[in-house]
Amino acid sequence: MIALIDINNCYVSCERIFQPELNNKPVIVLSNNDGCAIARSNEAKALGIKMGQPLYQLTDVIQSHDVQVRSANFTLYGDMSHRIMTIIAELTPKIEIYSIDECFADVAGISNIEAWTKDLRKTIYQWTGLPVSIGIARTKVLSKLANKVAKSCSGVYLISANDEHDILAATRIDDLWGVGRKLSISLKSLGIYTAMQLVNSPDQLVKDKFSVVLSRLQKELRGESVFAIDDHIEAKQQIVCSRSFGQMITDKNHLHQALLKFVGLATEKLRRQKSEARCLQVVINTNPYSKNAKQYHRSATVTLPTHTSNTTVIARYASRLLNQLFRPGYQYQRAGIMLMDIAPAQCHQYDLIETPSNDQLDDVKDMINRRFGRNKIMPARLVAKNQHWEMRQDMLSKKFTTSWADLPTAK
Amino acid sequence: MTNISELWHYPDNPKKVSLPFYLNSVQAGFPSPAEDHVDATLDLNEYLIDRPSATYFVRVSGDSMINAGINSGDILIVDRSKTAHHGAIVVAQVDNDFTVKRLRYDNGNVSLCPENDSFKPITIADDQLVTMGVVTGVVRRI
Repeated sequence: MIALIDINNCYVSCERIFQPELNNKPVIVLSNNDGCAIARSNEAKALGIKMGQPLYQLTDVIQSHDVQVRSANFTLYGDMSHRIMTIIAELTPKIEIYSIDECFADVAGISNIEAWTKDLRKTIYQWTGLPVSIGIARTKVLSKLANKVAKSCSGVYLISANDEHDILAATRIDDLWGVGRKLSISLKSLGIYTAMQLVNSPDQLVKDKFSVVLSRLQKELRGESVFAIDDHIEAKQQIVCSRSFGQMITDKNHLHQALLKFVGLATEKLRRQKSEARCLQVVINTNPYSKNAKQYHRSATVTLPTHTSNTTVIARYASRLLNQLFRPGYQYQRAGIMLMDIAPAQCHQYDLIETPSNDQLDDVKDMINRRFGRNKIMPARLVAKNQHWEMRQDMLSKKFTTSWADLPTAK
Repeated sequence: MTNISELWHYPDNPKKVSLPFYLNSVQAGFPSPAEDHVDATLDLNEYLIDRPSATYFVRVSGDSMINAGINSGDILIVDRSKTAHHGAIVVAQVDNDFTVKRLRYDNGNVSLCPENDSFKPITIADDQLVTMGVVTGVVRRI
């Protein structure tokens, strides 16, 4: 049996732990740059606030219902997520972290699964203050469905052989894990509207008309486990770091500075997963929603001479790409980099004339930053007084668990 | 043109050099008598924190617990995994604020008691008690 454990309204719940004044009130958390709602408390959902709804559309409802608004505080959410995952890993034989707020756990060896799960949920709540929902079923895909049911009842739900049929019949094809809008449209054109109808569709039809992915999904829905629990974190194949700016940028130096910071963040991620990249893309954009402004959207990609995770090397290529891309006279609203062609560092292929570097600067830098806090040490050109491109986070809560200056206080 | 022999020259700085690590150093002069007794260094985290995933730090503001050795500005180590029993020092939530007090259960009454005569205990209904966790330590730099 597989359990899917998921933090309810994760970001809002994290905000509430150290800000009890947010309890029982409608709360929303905004995306980077305070753009739109990316998390909603149940009270906010009841007011009709939609996922992804832009802030400017919400001004009325915020005023009339005293909706509490917070900027995304990923430092806090990341720390709380790490705590929950550690707790679950301590108490279960095998887990796979799926995202910041959900993980799969293999509960096959546990005798009274339902009682054990209720205990786990209670423990997580006591140790972290975060409410979770747990769905249990024979396969990963079914455990996702169980989790949905759990959210609407007591927080724990186990799909038994008896009610599998009813749940599949009540599940719309759109709500299945891995079924996007396009796929759901073509499924419906074949008369497949529910998960049960997909289960009953002939294997050959699914295989011929669709990809192997859907065929696996079908098996999982029938209770045949295809997706195993990975207890290792899978190395990412692409690393993206991009952001909208707090205000429009016209100066090339500011854009350059932002890109260098993104390179720093992305290469640190790359090194953390012990990988190297060989392909770099840089993107710069004006605001596509601004009707009056002149539009400019460009990207450029370069293949590096060898696989590398060296910040300085990648930063040099990013600067070159920016030189190619930048045109003065535009108001830039967004920039980003993407690292691709990622391979494990241990498989590094040396070419004939390459001297293996024993440059440990990056490792030392990472170590210092991990120990003393982000950006404690960074390239001098990033230490600017005036970071024009920093995000807008007007309603940011404190880093309650990761900064000495931000600890909660007790009288 | 680069000389071919240079091209084939084995790199001077291979990425990693593994050297054997000897627990006991090679004899040269008298052996250090401490050699076999070196232990790991002391780690305050290990001493102060039983369960890192359930432990939070909270800053004290005010003098209500001064007789328990808790001063304004101190950092409390709060363990959420411990159950708050009678007599424990806890961080509790009262009217949307956090407060540090000693928890007392007397004849069915729950109270959060200060340890400073100029403060009064806070009485609450049992089912209204919301604790963040049990205080297991105090940290102060002098």
